[in-house]
Amino acid sequence: MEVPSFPFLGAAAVAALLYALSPRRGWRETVLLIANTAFLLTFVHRPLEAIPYAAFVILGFGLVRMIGAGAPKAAYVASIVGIVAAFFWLKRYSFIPSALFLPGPYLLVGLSYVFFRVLHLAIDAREEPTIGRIGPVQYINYTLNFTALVSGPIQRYEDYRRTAVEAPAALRLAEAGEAIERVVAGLFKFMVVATFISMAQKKLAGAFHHDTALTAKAADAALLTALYPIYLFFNFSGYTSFVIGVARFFRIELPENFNQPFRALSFIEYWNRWHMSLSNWLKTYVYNPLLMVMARRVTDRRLMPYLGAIALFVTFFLIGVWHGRTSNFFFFGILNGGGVAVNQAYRVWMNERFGRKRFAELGKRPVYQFVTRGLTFAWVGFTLLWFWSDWPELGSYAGPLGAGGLAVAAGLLLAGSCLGLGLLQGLRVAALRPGIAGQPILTSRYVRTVWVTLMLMAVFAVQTVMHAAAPDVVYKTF
Amino acid sequence: MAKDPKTPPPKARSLPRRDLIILPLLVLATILAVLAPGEALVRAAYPDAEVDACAYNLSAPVLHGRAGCTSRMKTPEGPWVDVRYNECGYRTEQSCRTRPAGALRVAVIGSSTSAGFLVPYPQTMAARAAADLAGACGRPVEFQNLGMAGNTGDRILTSAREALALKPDALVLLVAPLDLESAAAPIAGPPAAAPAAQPSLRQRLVGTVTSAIADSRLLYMERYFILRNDDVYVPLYLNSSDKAGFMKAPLSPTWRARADAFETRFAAAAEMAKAQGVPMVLVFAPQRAQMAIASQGGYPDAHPELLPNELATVAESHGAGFANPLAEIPRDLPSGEIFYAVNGHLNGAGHAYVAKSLEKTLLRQAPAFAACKRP
Repeated sequence: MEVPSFPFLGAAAVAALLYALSPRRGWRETVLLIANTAFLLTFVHRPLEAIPYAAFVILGFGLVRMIGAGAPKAAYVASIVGIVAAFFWLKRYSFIPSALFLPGPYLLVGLSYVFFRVLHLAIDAREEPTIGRIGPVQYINYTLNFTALVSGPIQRYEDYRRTAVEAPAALRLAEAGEAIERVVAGLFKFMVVATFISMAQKKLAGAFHHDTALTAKAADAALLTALYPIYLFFNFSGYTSFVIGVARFFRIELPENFNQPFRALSFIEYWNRWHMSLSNWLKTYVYNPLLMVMARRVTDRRLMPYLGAIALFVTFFLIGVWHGRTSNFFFFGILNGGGVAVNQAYRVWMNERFGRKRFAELGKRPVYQFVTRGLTFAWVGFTLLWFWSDWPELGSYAGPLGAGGLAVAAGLLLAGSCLGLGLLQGLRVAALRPGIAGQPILTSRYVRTVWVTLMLMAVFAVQTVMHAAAPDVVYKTF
Repeated sequence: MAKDPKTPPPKARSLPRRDLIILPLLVLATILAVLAPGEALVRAAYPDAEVDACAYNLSAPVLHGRAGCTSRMKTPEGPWVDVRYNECGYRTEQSCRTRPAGALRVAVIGSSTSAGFLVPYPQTMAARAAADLAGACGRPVEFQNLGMAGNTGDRILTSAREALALKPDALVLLVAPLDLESAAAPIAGPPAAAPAAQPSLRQRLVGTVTSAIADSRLLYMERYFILRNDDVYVPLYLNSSDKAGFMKAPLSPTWRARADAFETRFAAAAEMAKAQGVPMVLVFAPQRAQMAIASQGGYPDAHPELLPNELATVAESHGAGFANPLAEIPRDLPSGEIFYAVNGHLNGAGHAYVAKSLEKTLLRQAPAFAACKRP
């Protein structure tokens, strides 16, 4: 079953109605268990295909309980390594000999996100008794939560337990309205905006190969580079908004994945606003431990600020590599890791050179923000070239452009990013200025109701007119 | 490990009571604010004029256009079409009274598809075939088109009699599955005067709203976008009760009765033609879903050739030729390209396939066309 889609919405509505029939915890957990299992089974064509997936989930449960029961440190480490190894093996990472892989196709949907949840449980089971003693129903409902199975967001167990089990989030008219707003906004972003951007991208790619003038080709290339991050944002944040809204009807508050990422003034800030549930997970389980380990070993105080850059490089390199198993994703990881590391080193250097106060003041200047916002976006677009494309395809763009064309394209990308985002920021500030009683009119529930109605009408109109389905969630494949 | 700080669950917020009225009203107002100008815009951009102003006396034994009359017609999904009737009330540019020296004459009978309903004259099956055959024969060929929406059932016989009076070199009857559906129906007379009952205000209101929705051009557009997709349209049509019964083997009793009723009338028309020594050709006008299945496949339980084969047997058994345009249609052609998606009639491109099929049959079977070059 596709997510987001109207069939999914219909099925979720039925499940939510059943869920709301009784406030009893047992009833609600049973409804969720059935919904989660049924949703997963919609991806299973033959029962055998589900066995590796089921084995991974069961293995995770066994190890979490074993760790929770006070397993020795060696068993704890072996369990963590075992979960990671099982994931790599099931996902057929290229560094594992292919002879070891299971033959034939098997279920993989959302396995990466299940892996993050299982690994989080296993790591924390040692210190957190509620995790160590997790019951099978709660374990399945958490790891296979159907609202977030396909592409996240990755929720911490404590947060899941708090809203789904201990203190279910309120769901009165206001909250239900907001949940519907999230669902509609998600559908609009995913089915309308992302679909049209995807179409524009395809047209631009065609135009690039048809255009003969170098400047036209460079403009096409710059626009193609700029469009993908926007497409990816609407595709993924549309999905996320949709599932956050759906989950609210089950009293679950999924974490946000996006916080206006293109307003970021640095690459580090961008990653604090983009796919936040993944970057937070990696910061918790990779960046922080790594930084602590390095800090214990490095005694030279002058080097201490730069340790963060190294830890950031490793963390965001892993984010890149997680996306795929080919060399372009390896390079994508290097660009991401390099981007945040250079960004961190620049911060350290500027702080040392000018002092924290002056550097902070510099960061508030409109011109500085105008440039850094555009530079950040341009870098994001550049790194994503290795995300949506591969080496031969990139060669087919770079070859006809040559060094001169590439330089023009880079210049256009940077200038366009600065101007475009600067303009958007200006418009945003102006739009939010008119207000009543301190609240911007645009964010009042009346204006939002009108906007939601318009978005829903646009979704129906586009769904009616378009024969092809909207592009799938990009992050579903990871 | 660093943990996110625990946050207390958010408290439930209540909406002010007035919002329970204001918010739904806002939703309704927004919908109306978009739909009303949208409807007006779509009406202006895609006018609908599917009623033929030249049609008259709808209870007559055979239907014609008003002699010498011209009307303008349009379906929202098609172009403006000028419909001109000659002095006999036929949709033909040539006179029915005089026949140019050396010209071959074909008389066409049938209902809306024969008449080229909603199709510009040069793109109609009759005009295309006339032009192509004139080229092949090296002499003028005229098609007197007696086709008119509603000329089904017993009107076929009256039409055939009138067509044969024109002394044609061939008589062509074009029939669509929809024509067979109405073949058994008696000719409708003027509606009987019903006792005048004053509708209540509620009934009038419901009636107004219902007809406004039914006439909505936005809904028409929505239907168009939905129905032009064969993946949506074909299953819908196949599941539409007995309408698609002509593609299900064996023919249902209803469709068997329809086919038999048609054969009775066709036999009589063919007998009249034979008596005058005029060769007759039966042309099958495919239905849209039928064409889509024949071209694209994918529905093993549907048999698009079933009815054409049945009609071919009927034609053969009465000494007539048979033209099946389904054989001319290329593979994997979306049906929306040759049919009006909502209206359901063949468009100008669709008439080209019918014309091609008819031309081949005439060249093969009509003696007057024996000397013409075959393509």
